[in-house]
Amino acid sequence: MNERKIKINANLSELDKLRLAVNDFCKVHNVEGKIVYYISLAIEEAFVNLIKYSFDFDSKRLVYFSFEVEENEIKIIIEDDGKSFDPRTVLPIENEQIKKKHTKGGFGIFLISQIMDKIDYFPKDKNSPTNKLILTKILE
Amino acid sequence: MYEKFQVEKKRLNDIEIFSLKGILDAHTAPILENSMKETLENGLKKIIINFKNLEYISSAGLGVFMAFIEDTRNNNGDIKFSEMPDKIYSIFELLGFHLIFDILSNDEEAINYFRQNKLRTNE
Repeated sequence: MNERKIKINANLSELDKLRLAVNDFCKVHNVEGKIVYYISLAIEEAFVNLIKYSFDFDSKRLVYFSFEVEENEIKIIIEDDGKSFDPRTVLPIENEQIKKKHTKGGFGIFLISQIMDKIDYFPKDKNSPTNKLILTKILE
Repeated sequence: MYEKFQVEKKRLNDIEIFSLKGILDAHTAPILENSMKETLENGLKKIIINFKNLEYISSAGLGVFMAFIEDTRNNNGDIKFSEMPDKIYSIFELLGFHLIFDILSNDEEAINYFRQNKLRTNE
């Protein structure tokens, strides 16, 4: 099982199902506990952003997740047909902002950039009906 | 299998100790938020969060601490963390939270910090 796909509703109550899918997939591929945590975390942060910003909390919308293992890396492909948003365009949070407590949220995308090794994004267009976010984690 | 999120609170004079268990994600963070709000509304501003049995935290959980830290520190209180597992500490470190919060080995040490009035300020 080098690939697994699931689709879930854009609803926070689906986070358990998503985490379980990550856990099962990682278990089959003997991924170390801390890396499993990082992958679950990155996926949650991306999913929550989609719910808020791409779907405006419309829980009837669907998000498609694919998990793939290739040699020494795991790829998570997240597809949606909501508003396009490239997470790579968000500026990093500075430690100074956190120290002064000027940032009470907005840690999600910053966290993804810190715990994953690569982020690719392909917005939907006339040839592709879905936005595609690809998160890559290298397995040590 | 992951456990659902649970909060247990224990009061020790003017200190409230929160023991967190399970998964603290965007779905369960409101449970902690309401629980902390209740404590602050009861006038308790010295808070210890014990992470020993917490398996997972995401940015939604971290946001709860950021939401209350100014209020506690403005009122002669603080939020201190104890028994944090390594994988969770690594996330706090990435975000620079270790620079603004005291992260202590156990509840006893955190209680002593409060008894010695080692409080951080909002500056």
